[in-house]
Amino acid sequence: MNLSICVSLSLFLFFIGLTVVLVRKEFLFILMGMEIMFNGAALTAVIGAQHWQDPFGQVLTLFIMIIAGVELTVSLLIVMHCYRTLKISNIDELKQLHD
Amino acid sequence: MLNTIIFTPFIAAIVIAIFAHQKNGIARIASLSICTLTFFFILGIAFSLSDIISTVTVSRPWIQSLGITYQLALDGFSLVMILVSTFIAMMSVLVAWQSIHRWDIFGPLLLMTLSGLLGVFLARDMILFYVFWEVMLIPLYFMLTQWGSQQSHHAATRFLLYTITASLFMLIGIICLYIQVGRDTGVYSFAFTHLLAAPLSDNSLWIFLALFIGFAVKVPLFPLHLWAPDTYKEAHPAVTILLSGAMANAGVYGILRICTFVSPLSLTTLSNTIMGLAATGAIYTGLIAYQQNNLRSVAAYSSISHMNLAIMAIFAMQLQAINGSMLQLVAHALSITGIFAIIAMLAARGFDGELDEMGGLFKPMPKLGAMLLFFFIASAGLPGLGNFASEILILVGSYQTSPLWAAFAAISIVIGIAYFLRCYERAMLGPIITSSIEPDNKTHTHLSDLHWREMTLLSLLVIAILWLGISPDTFLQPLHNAVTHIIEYNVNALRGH
Amino acid sequence: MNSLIWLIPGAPLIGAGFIILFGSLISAQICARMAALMVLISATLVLSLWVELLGQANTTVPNAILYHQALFSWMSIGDWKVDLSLTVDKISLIMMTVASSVGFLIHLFSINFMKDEQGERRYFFYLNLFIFGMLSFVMAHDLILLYLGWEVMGLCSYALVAFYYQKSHYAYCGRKAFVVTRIGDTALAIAIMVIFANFHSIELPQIATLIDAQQINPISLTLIGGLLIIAAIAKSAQFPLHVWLPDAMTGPSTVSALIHAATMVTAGVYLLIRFHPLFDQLPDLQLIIAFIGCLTAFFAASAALSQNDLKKILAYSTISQIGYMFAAVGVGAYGFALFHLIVHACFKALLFMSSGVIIKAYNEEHDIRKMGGLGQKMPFLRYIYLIGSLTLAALPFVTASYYSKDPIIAATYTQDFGFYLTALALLGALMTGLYSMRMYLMIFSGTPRSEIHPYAMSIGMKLPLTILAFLSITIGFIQTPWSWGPELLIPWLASDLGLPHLPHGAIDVTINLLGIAASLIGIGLACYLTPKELKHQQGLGNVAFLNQAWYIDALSMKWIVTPYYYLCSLCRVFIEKVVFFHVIESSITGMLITGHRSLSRSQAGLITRYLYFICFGAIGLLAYILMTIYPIHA
Repeated sequence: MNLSICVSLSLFLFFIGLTVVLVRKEFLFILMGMEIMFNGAALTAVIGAQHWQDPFGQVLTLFIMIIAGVELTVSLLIVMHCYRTLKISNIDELKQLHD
Repeated sequence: MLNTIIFTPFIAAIVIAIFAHQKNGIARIASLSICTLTFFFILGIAFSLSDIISTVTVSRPWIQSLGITYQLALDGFSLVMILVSTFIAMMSVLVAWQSIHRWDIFGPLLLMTLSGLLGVFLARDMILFYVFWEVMLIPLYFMLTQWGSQQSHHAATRFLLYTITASLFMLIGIICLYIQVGRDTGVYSFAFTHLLAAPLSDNSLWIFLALFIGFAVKVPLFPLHLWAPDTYKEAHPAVTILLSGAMANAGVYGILRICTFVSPLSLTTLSNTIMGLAATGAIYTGLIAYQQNNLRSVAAYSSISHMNLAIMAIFAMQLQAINGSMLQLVAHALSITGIFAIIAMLAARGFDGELDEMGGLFKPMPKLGAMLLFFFIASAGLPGLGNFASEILILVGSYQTSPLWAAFAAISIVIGIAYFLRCYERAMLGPIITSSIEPDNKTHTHLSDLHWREMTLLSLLVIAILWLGISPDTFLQPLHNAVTHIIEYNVNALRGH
Repeated sequence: MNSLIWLIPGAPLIGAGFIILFGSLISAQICARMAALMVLISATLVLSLWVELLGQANTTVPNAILYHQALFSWMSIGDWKVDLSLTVDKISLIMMTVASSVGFLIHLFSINFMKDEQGERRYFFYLNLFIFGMLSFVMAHDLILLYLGWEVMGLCSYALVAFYYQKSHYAYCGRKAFVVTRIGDTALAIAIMVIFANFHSIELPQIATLIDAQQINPISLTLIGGLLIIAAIAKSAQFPLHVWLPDAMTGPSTVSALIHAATMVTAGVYLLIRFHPLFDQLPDLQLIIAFIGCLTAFFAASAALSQNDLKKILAYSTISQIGYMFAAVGVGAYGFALFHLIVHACFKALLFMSSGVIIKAYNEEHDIRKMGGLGQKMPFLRYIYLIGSLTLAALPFVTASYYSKDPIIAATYTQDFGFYLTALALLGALMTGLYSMRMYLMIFSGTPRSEIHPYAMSIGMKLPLTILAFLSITIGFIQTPWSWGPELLIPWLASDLGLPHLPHGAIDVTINLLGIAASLIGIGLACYLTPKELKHQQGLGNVAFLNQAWYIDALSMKWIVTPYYYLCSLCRVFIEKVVFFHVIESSITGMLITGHRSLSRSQAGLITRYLYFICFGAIGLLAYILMTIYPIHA
C-alpha cells in the first residue's frame, strides 16, 4: 500500500482527535478525542514498522495502547470525581486552582 | 579533609532534623557541639599547617560536558574566613540558646547555612561556588521568617528579593565570564584556576559589574543596602549575627576572590567611583544611625557603615588597604556579634531595643553595660581593639590611592563615636525609666545582670577582639599570600596594558 | 633600668586589668589602694630615671633618646611596619614626671575623697587606665602607640565625666567631651595617613629626621601641620573647640584635676612640641598657633571673670592657661610651654582637688555667690587655696607661675604681629588675677552665705595638697629670668628644643613690668570689686556675654550641631525614605507588579485556551524545525 496514503490516514485521525479536543468542552468528548489522537499516533508507528521492517514500531504501539488505557482509567476517575464532588462536566469550569 | 569541614554541619543538620525531631534540648546541644567541633577542627588545621603556602585541595570532575568540576582548596584567606564563620555560628547558637524553642528546626537551618558558608569560602569552581552561595541563603530566609518580630516577614521577603536578584546578576556574570574565557582560550571550564587566570579581553566591564553587583548587595554597598537595615532589625539577633557577621563577609570575600581577578582594568576604571560610593555610604549610614531610635537599627547601620569601608579598601588596590579590608571582615564580625549578642540579652530581659523604653540600665546591669560599652568603642575603632587595626590599615592604604575619599571616610571616626555614644547614653545612662522596673509590669521584671552563659559568650568575644587588636599579625600572616597575589596580579595586568 | 621601662605605663594597666577582672572579689578600698600603688610604681620608676639621668654627664646630645625599649611588633605590611616601642627623651621625661607624680598624688587624694561613692571600683579602673593612656601617649615611639594613648585618654575622660551617669545632663556632657575631642582624633588619624603617605614611616624620630632633611613637599607638611593643630586644639580645648571642657566639669573634682587640668588637656601642647621640627619650618602655622593661643588665653580669662560655678571658673582658667602654652609653642618657646605646663599641672590640680572639698563642704553647691566664710572653718584649706589662687594669678617673684608665664608673654612679642599677641596675653593675665582672687575671696572671706558642713580631711588628702602647694611656689625657681637665679630647665632642654627667642633690653623689661603690673592690678581689682559685688548682688557674675563665654557654645549649637541634626534627618528621611524607598524601590516594585498583573490576567484558568496555546506552540515549533532543516533559499 502507498506509504503516503497510510500516513495521511493517521494524520487525518490525529487531526480529528485534535479538533474534538479543541472544540468540545465536555470531559468525555475530550477524552475520546485524546484516544483518537493516540490511535493516530499509534497508526504512524505501525506504518513505520511495516515500512522499515522493524518490530520496534509494533512494540511502541503496544506501549501506547497500554499507556492510553492506564491514562484513561486515571482521567475517567478524575472526571467522575469532578462530576460527583464539584458537579461539573465542562472543562472550562475546572479552574478552582486559579486565584 | 575539606569535605569533612563542609559536610559535617550538613550531615549533622539532616541527622538532627530527622532524629531529634521535637527534642529541643538534644537538638540544641547537638547544634552547639557540631559548631564547636568544626571550629576546633579548623583551628587544628590552622595550627597544623605550619606552612600556609602549601594549600590543601580537593579536585574531582563533576559535570564534565560543561567543564564543571568539584574543586575545593584552602589557603590563608579561606582559612581565616572559615575560622571566623564557624566562630560566629558558634556565637549565634549561644545567643539563640534560650530564646529559640524549636531547635530541631533552627539548629539544622543554622548548620545548613554554616555548611553553605564554608563551601563558599572553600569552593574553587564557579558553579560550585554558586551552589554553595544559594545553599547558604535559602535556610536564612526561613530563619528570618520563623524567628523574628512581627514585621520580619516583610523584611524577609525584601531580603529574599534583593538576594535572589543579586544572585541572578552573579549567575549571569558567571556564565558570561565562562563564555568569554572560553572564547578567549578555547577551553571551557568553570574552575577558578581557569576563569581567573588571566584578565578578560573584552566585555570585561559588564561581566565585572554583574559579578560585583551580585556580591555588593550582600555586603551591602551603598546604595544597594536598602534590604539590610530592616532585615537586621526585624530578625532574631542570632540570625542577624549570621547575616551581618558571616554573610556580609561572603560578599566581600567574593569581590576579593573573584572580581579582583576578572578585570583589573575595570577595577581601576571604577576605582574612584566605587571608593566614592563606599566612603559616602560609610558616612551616610553613620549619619542615619545617629537618628535611629532602636538599638538594633543603630547596630545595623553601623554594620553597613563598616562594611562599606572594607569595599572602599578593595578598590584602592593597595597593599595595606587590602590587608585592612580582610582584617576588617574579622574585626567587624566580632564586634557586631558582640553588639547583637547584647541586644539578644536585652531582649531576654524584655527590651526589644527601643531606646525610648530603656534608660539607666547601667545601674541594675553594670556588667551588661560595661560589655556594651566595650563593643561600642571597639566598633568605633578604639586603638588596641580589633576594628582599629583594620580601619587604620584601610585608611592609610586608601589614602595612597585616593587621598580625597580616604580623608572623607576618616570622618566616620567622629560620626561613629557620635551615634554609638548617643545610643549608649539613651540605653544605659541617665535616670532609670520607672516603667521598665515596675514589678507589676511582667515583661520587665527580670532585670538581672549577666549570668554565666552570657558572660562566657561575651568574654570569648572580648578576648577575640583584644587579641585581634593587640596582635593583628596572627591574622595578617595567613592572609599575606592571598593579598600579595591579588596585588601582583593587578599590577601585572595593568602593566600589560 | 632600661628593661623596666615597660612597667611605667604597664603598672597602671595591670592595675586597671586587675580591677576589672578581680575587683568585684575584693573590697573597693583595697582596689583604690592598689590603683594608687600601681601609679606609685610608675612614679617611682620615673623618678629613678631622673636619678640615673642626672648622674650621667652626656645630656647635651641633640635629640638624644635616653631610654628605648621595644615592646612587640604590632603589624608589618610592606612599608607599614609598626613595632611598638617606648622611648624616653627629655621632653617625654618631663611629661612622664608630671603625669605619674601628679597622677599619684591625685590617686592618693581620691582614696579618701571617693570613699563610699557608688562605683568606686569603676572610678579607679578608669583612673588607672587613664594614667596608662597618658604615659603610653607620652612615651610613644611611633604614631600608633601615640594614637592609642590619645584615644584611651578620650575614652577615660568620657567615662569619668559621665561618672554620675544617672543624671542625663552629666551623661550628655561626657558624650560632648568625647565627641568634640574625637574631631581632633579624626584630624590626628588623617594626619597619620598623610604622614605615612609622605614619609613611609610612622616612627617619630625618623619623621623628625626626614623633616629636618627638608625633602618633603611643603604643601604636605602644611597639611600635616594643620591637621595636628586641629587635633591639638580639640584635645587641649582651645578656641573654637573649647566648648567641651566647661561641660566636662560634671565629673568628680579629682577627675577634673587629673584629666581636665594636669594631663590630658595638655596632651595637645605636647603633641605640638613633639612635632616642633615641623612647625619650625612652617612660620605661618606657628603664627596661627600663637594667635589661637593668645586669643584663647584672653577669651577664656574673660569668660572666667563672670562664671559663678566654681568648677567652671577653673575650667575656663585651664583653657586660658593652656592658651599661654599654645602661644609659647607658636613663638617657638617650646621650653617655656613645657615649663608652664608643669607649673600649671601643680597649681591647677591643687585648685581642683580643693574645690572638690569646698563643694562637699557646701553640700554640693557649686555657685560661689552662695559660698563664703569658709576661711574660719577650714584654715588649712584656706591657705592651700590661697597659694593655688595666687599662683594662678601669677603673683610676681613668689609664685611659680610668674616665672613660667611672663617669659611666654615676653616671647610672644618676637612673633609677627607681636604687639597684638602680647597685648592679648597681657589682658588675659590681668583678668586672670581678677578672676582667681574673686573666686578666692568669694569662697573664703566674709560670712557664710549658706550652711557649711565641715569636712574633715584625712592626712591622705592633706599630704597631696601640701606637696602641690609647695611645688606651686618653689618649682618656679628652677628657671628664673635674667640669670639672677638658677636657670636649669631651658638650657637643659635646649639640646632638644632649642633656645627660645626672647626680646632684649628695654622691651623685655617693659613687658615684664607690664606683666607684673597686670597681675597686681588684677588682684587689686578683685579685692575692690568682689565685696561690692557681694554687697549689691550685682557685678561681674551678671555679665551675660561673658558668663555665656561669648555665646560660643550657643553659636556652635546653632550653627554646627543643629545643622548636623538636619543633615542626619535629611539622610534618614529624605534620601533613605523618600528617594530610595519611595521613589526608586517603589517604582521598581510598581513596574514588576504591573507586569505581573497583566501576565496573570492571561492565565485565566481556562483549559481550552491552554490547549490552543499548546497547539499553536507545537505548530510554531514544528515550523521552526522544518525551516531550519529545509532552509528557504531565496
